[in-house]
Amino acid sequence: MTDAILEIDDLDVYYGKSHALKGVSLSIGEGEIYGVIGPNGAGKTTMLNAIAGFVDYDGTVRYDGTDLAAVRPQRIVRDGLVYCTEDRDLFPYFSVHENLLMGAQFRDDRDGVRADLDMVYELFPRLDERREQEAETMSGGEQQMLAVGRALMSGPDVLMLDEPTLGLAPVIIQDIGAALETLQAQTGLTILLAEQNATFALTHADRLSLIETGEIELSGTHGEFHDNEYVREAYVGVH
Amino acid sequence: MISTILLLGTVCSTVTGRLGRVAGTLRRQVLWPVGRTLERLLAPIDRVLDPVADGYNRSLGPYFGEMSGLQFGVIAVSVAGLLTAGYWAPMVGPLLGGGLLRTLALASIWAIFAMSWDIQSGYTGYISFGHSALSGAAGYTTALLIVHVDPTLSIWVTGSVSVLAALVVGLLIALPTLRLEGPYFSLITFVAVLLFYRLTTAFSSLGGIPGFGQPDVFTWDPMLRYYYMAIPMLLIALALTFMARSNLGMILIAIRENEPAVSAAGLNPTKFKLWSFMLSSVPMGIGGVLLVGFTGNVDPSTFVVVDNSIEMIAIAVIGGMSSILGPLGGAFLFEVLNHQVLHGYSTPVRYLFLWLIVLFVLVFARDGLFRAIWHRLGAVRGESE
Repeated sequence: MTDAILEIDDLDVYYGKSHALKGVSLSIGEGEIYGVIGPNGAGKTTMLNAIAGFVDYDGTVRYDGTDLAAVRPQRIVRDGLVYCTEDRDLFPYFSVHENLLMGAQFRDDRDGVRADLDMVYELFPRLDERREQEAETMSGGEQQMLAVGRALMSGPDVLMLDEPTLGLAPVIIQDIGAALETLQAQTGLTILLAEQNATFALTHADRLSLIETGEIELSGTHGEFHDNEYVREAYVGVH
Repeated sequence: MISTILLLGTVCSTVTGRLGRVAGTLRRQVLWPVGRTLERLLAPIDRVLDPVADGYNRSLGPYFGEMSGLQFGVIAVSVAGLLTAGYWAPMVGPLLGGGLLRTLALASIWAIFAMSWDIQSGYTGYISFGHSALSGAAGYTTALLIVHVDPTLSIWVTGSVSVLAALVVGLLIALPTLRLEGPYFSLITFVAVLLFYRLTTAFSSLGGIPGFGQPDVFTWDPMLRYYYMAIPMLLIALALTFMARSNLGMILIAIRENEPAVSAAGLNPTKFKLWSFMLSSVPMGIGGVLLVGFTGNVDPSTFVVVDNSIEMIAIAVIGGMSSILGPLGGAFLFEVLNHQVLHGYSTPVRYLFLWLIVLFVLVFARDGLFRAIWHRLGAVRGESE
């Protein structure tokens, strides 16, 4: 693919002696939703952590043409590659509004920040209703919306989401899925989605990879994954 | 042996159980009715002051924090009280054992220390046990300049060099330690102050245990001395409140709440922790210079001992950490208790009382007395905060 915005080439990560990621390569095009599915412990989070610069790795990660090996994690965020971690990492005693503002702390363009605030509140009306509520007192789904909202406040070009549906009610999962599609359609945001919930990833991703024990077992388009026997039996369940 | 322990355990649990019940009854029968009566009495005042507070909220509120009518009233009365203390304190003083102006001057200096500690430790959650090293650096710089360089140097020269020295020592402590997390940071600040203490006592060129008596006090006039201490204190309070309510303050609290998330939001926490330490070192230095002008003597037990660092923390905790104005109030409460209310007792007995009070505040009003009162004042008419 020539217009790849994020390219991962031969990525290896070791935790002590254990080999967590074994030569993973991916190429994500601008404006697509790319799903990475796989079971617990397969290496999905490790891969995102490596891209964000949180763990050391061998191999190359190229974002928008630059090699990220020498770029500091904070710089990566400012350049538009924003990571929304699995544990959501909210500020528990800050209000919804303050949490969102924290995402935009480093930005100088006041008008852009205001526009993004409106966009986030429109995208997640539940957050709009709860502007003054402390993050800690919100339900899991609302916290997840807030985590995504805060990541959006950093003005991302590429958004990495780790397990956004973890432990959430089906209705909320629908809301989040709808929000992702709106974002892709309206702002052209590129999304890298790591999910155990294969059904969710299959519903929303344009292309996918299946990762098992640190290796990519299968890559393909949404259609190919949908028709694949192994994926259906092992990850989706019989429909 | 085991049965003794079991017996002790049973006794302890019954005692604490009964204590809990007594506390519960106390709360229901005494504190709540008193609180409700107070609320009923204060609500009209709140309503009357509301328009004034609204005017403040519209003009200065965004910079220094919004207040309700009653909160605004309390702040206005406190500031007016501090500014006019030179006139009323000599009249009220004799009722409290005399020397009230001296106590208030000393409290102003400690308020500076406690607020400076607060903007760093209270806000970021990186608790420093070594802040007296910073004021000590300033005090010793002043003394050394006067003794070894030129006894006629003006206070502006010695003062600014001393504040700079506090900043340098602050950087020396902060640069290598702020990358550390959790208790290691606190331990290293603790060791820093111990080192500084031994340094000053070990070398006679640094004054040894008696220290330096050469620096002069600013003035012997109690009223003038009070204003020399109180005015810089109020200015520092204003500046630190402004910083704490700004984006910087928000980031510092965010570091305390969830440091990885600050990184994930594209900010470098170490940079901001360093900022907070520098922001704290400068007023610490100013406080150190004022303390020289108050005591006229620079020695380890006035300036450096680790007890000083702990006292700053105690004052901040009594008042309410991470609020700037809480530690300010805490300093006045602590010093008035120490030198006025308890003045008939010997120093060890006074400190025994004071530490017991600190313990009580920690157990029963963990957020600090003044912070608790502040939130109550903001909510007399039922609104939250």
